[in-house]
Amino acid sequence: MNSAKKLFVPWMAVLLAGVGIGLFTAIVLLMKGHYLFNANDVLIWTLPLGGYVFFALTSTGLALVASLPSVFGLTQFEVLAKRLVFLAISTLVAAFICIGLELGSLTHMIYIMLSPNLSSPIWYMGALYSLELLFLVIKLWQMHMGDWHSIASRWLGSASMLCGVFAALMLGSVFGLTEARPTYFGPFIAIFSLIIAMLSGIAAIILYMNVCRWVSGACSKQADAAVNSLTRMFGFMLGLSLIFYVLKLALASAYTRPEFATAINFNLVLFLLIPYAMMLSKRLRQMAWAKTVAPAITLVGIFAVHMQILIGGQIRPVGPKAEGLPQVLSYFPSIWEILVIVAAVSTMLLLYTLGERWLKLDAAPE
Amino acid sequence: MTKWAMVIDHQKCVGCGACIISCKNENNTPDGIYWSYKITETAGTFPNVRYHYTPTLCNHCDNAPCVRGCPTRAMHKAEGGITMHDPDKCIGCKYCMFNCPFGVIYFNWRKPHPEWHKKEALIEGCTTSPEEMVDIVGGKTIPYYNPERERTLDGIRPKGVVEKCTFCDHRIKKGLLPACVEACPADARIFGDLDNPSSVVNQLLGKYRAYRLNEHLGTQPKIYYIRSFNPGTYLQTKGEVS
Repeated sequence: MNSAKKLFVPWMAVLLAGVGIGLFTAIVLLMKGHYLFNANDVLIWTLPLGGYVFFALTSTGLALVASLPSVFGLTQFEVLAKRLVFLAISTLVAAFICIGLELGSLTHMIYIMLSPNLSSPIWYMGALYSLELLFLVIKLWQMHMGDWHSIASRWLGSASMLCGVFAALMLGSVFGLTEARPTYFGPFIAIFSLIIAMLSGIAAIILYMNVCRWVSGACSKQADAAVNSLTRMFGFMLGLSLIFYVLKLALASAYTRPEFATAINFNLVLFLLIPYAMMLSKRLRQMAWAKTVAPAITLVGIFAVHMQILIGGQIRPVGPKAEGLPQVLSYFPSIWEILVIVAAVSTMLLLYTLGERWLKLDAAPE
Repeated sequence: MTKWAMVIDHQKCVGCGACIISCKNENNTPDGIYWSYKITETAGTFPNVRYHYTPTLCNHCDNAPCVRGCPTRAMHKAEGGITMHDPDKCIGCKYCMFNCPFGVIYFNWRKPHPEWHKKEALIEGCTTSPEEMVDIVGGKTIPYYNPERERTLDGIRPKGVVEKCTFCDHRIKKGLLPACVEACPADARIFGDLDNPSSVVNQLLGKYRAYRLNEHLGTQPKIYYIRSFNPGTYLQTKGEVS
């Protein structure tokens, strides 16, 4: 506890510096423009969007796990519910920072409400994630006030769960509805997004609980049983994700236009395979280091998979945009893109830290 | 109902690029943004090679994926089936670019025409600065600014939004042909109403077998390509098996 107290001030200083860098980045981007990104008219969406996909889906996963006790009556997870809801909110804020700094014109955002397009998956995704954020904040407030089992609380739990499920499906549909890009087109990416959301949510909470325990000794031991159950669920979700990953590889290899099969990389399967192998072992499942390393590898892998899918589908110029360019473009993020991620991660960790300190996240119903 | 369409005759097109230049002048587009452009391909193995030149522009699809996907309806269908864009509503999400199968939508990554905002003279004490030049000729941002573009759209679109061909809707409204059609020295671009059975566009589509880019995607593009230029002959033969 003492070391945690000693670390608190420098840790907060680092996070506040990260948030400050984020504000500076936002001002520079809005004043100068997005040419500061290593994006162009061919590679349209880059690292900030990859960050958005990662954080948004992780938030969905956390919200889905949080709904297990209130919607499905799995009371063993009640001890984690408040923390899960709070983590889902903080992670969704990180996602909103990424997407906000990816957009070219924030001042025109008002037209999302004034001129909505009900055939646009981006509109539904934005609306559902906004609603989900609202529901999660109300749900956190209710939990904070000790209201766990009222009818309103149950309805809110169901509403935020449904918002999360459909938001993840819609996020996948943003890619899946592009006829122009065979790499993405079809229902696969939407379903894959939902599965990956669940996997990253479970990985995030297991990692968080272990790190929290190591760093500060906080995070109640009463949660151990719930975390152990989640670890088994983690192994199952890893297996399911592996099946879908291999299925995607198989589908990609069957394309008649092999250039479109580049959107997924076989090497990345290791990021799922290694943690899966670890979680198969009952002995490793009970070891704290394994329960920290396996979700950490998984989260890194999931981020890499998102980036691989995102960039892989865009590296070949379409139509006249191929003029004067190579057949396949290469990509490495610019410092400004990295700073967007720094801003998002710093804000998310700052919220985590403050919430852990002030919001009594171990609270559970009597 | 009018439904504007364009036929591009490969046999007449000489690949001079006048359509590209005239479009840039008419619509004040910045460097790197082409509402009218081309696809060039070289096929075959030397010495048996050939070169293809395909002029491109927005296809103003009936079933436009850019319109369907735009979250704010900034990209929308307008009079005559023209796919229009409203920069005031555009949030710069770039989904239309992501969705367009033809690669004809561009993003303003930076403030347009930055070179004409410079205050330093090119040669000190000898030439004006770019900004002074713009002032002297009374242009907006660029000295060759075309104010006619403002009739239906921002004369120059700001940074952070996308832009694309509008079939020169501001000219059509005045009874004029699109700038690229007007400028084509070979009359390779033929513009007209697809819903008028006697329009030249329909006459050509009745006479020649046309193709459209990415037709298989079902977006119903309204740029039709006819014929192909090939003045060559070859020795009459049935080929060989060895």
